[in-house]
Amino acid sequence: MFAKVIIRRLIFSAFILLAVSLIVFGATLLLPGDAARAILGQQATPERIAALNEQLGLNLPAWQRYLEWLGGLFVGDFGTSTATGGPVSELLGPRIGNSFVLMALAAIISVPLGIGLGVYSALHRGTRRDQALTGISLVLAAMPEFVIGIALIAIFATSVFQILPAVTLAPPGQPVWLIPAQLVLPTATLVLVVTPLYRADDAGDDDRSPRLRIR
Amino acid sequence: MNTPNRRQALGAGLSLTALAGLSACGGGAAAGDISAGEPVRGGTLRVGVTGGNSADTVDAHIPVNSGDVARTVNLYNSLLTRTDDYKIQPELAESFEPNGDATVWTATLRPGIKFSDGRDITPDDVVFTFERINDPDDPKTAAASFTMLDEVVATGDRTVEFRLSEPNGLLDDSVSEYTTGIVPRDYDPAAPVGSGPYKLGSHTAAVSTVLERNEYYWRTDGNWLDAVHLLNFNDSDALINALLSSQVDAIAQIPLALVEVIGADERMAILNSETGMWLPFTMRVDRPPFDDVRVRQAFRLVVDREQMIEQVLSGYGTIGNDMFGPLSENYPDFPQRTRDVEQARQLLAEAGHPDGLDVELVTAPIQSGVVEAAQVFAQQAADAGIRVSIRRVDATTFFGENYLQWDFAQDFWYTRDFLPQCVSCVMPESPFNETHWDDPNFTSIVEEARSLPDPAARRNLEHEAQKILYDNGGYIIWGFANQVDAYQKYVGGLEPNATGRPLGGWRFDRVWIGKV
Repeated sequence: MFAKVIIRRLIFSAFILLAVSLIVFGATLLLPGDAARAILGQQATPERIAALNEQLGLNLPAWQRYLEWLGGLFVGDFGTSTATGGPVSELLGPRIGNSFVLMALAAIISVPLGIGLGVYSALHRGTRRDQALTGISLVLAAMPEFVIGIALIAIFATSVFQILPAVTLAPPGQPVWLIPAQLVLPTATLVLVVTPLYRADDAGDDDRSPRLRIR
Repeated sequence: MNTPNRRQALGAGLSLTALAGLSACGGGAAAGDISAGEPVRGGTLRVGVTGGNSADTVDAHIPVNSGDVARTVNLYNSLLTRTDDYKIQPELAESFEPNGDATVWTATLRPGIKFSDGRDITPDDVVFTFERINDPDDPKTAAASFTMLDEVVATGDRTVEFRLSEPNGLLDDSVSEYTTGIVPRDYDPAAPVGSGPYKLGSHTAAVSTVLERNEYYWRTDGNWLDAVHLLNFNDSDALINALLSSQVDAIAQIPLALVEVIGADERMAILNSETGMWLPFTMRVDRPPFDDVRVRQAFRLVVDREQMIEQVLSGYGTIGNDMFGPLSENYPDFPQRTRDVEQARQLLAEAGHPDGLDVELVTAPIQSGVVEAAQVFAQQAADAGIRVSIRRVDATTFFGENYLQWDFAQDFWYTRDFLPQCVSCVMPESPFNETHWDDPNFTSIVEEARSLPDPAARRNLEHEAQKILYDNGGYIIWGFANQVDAYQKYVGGLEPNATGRPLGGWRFDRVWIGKV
């Protein structure tokens, strides 16, 4: 039964991604200017533009280009970047890897933390501590992630204390966890954003049954 | 259960605000004692820059963005260079002299200078360098300045002759550009060997470059640093945060509106350089309404130049007088133009616009301050009945197929001397003639002036040319922007530099990291 929910969600996500890719592709077609001229910049002569168009396959009809790209996805070929000339997978790969690391770290911390806090709240319902916790939770859940992020940077990296790095400056090619200090603030931000949601869910904050209201 | 009541939510909100207020208190380090002290040999300087992308290069002759220029200046040296106050001075060449009629220039290389791999720098390498720059199949950036160059010939063990097809008194300016770095005959950009204070350690486009001390560099003073790390950032917020959290030691080009805030941090110092960088408005003199000189004069009179500098540059700039080349030796001392709305209205009426006129101004964020200047101008011009509608496009569109064709737009230029700048923008063959200026009288004056290598000899001609532009030109040059950077106080050797290149003209050979 669990599997059904997951599969349904996955299929739904796939559809959304497909729709988004169509929209982005269509929108880029509508943008002014053309790729060949933008790439060539100062050296754009009509012959060079024509040659580049030929080379990049920009002369083919739009639907054909889209379908070729889509087909490439199924065999793991994400195409070539017009900006760098290199494979897109090389551009995405390390970055997606770093994102997964961050996601995993945040999940490892925030899930047990959220559940733990939620259980605590449920067991001590109505006490001052629970109310304070709920209040803080509410505020954090309402704040946009970037506000939390900026506040953490201001407190720990730039203005109040300068004990943590403000920017991730991983040398190219190295995995991001080799400099653990730079993972602290991003992880903390995600934890602060996500934990309130776990906690609220677990504490039953959305449980509006009347009998619990009467004190 | 009790949802938190309003009192509690308010309490939480207040404590968060207090926390935010704390952050405004600033760093508590006893940083007042920090200074760079005496030069210290050793250490690695970490520099933050923006603007890097996948097209980043280490090629000596085609730098495009800020990071490229930083690399070029430090990996390579040219025959001549510019001082901090924009005067020409010898670099790899100990002299660069014209013959009687400026048709042949002779460079004499310093003795004993070497490339970063230990080989001698010879006249042959100079010949190759300029052949590479002027290769007709693949001309490099500086090629536009050498169109009259017939051949470069090695004439001795340290001398090279530049033989021209016509007299050119400005070749020393051309040869002082950072785009003419001397490279060895077997130069390969993939494994570059250069003549500058640093050699290439490693380079990843859009991320970072590591420069290591060149042990063979010809300058005996300086060269304190073991290495320089150039780190690219995608936006200026991350750049500034990296400085404030001490992940970098210096950052290039901070937003002028944030100078006070950053400077307030006790650990930081601000490098404020007056330059000749200009962000003009450009009016096409061959299109209505600007084909009537009275309209152009009216547009220039409507500008409140002090207010422009205050609002656009936060005060970090110097006033312009509708003439470029402010650091040229022969920059004239004409009366400073000031705002005169009455006169502007009158000129417009005489030109057939008694009720003012409507114009469209094309602007784009091609450089910080450009779009703001457009908005301020629109406000100022309204007082004279000029109704400006601003058409803001993105930088790619601006430099696209309509670049240099806009009727009324803007542009930006780095510091140049007057005559070389003329060659770039107001002569018939100029590659960037935004105003479509083509005055035969002006052209002949400039051509005569540029054939004279001695600035004193061409003084009157330059003044004549400047007067024509001052009276009738298509540029509105309201001011020259300062270049402002920020760095940690323990970094020494950063000097104000008028070229417009950040962090002391990118001269890292003079920089050291003081003992804290």
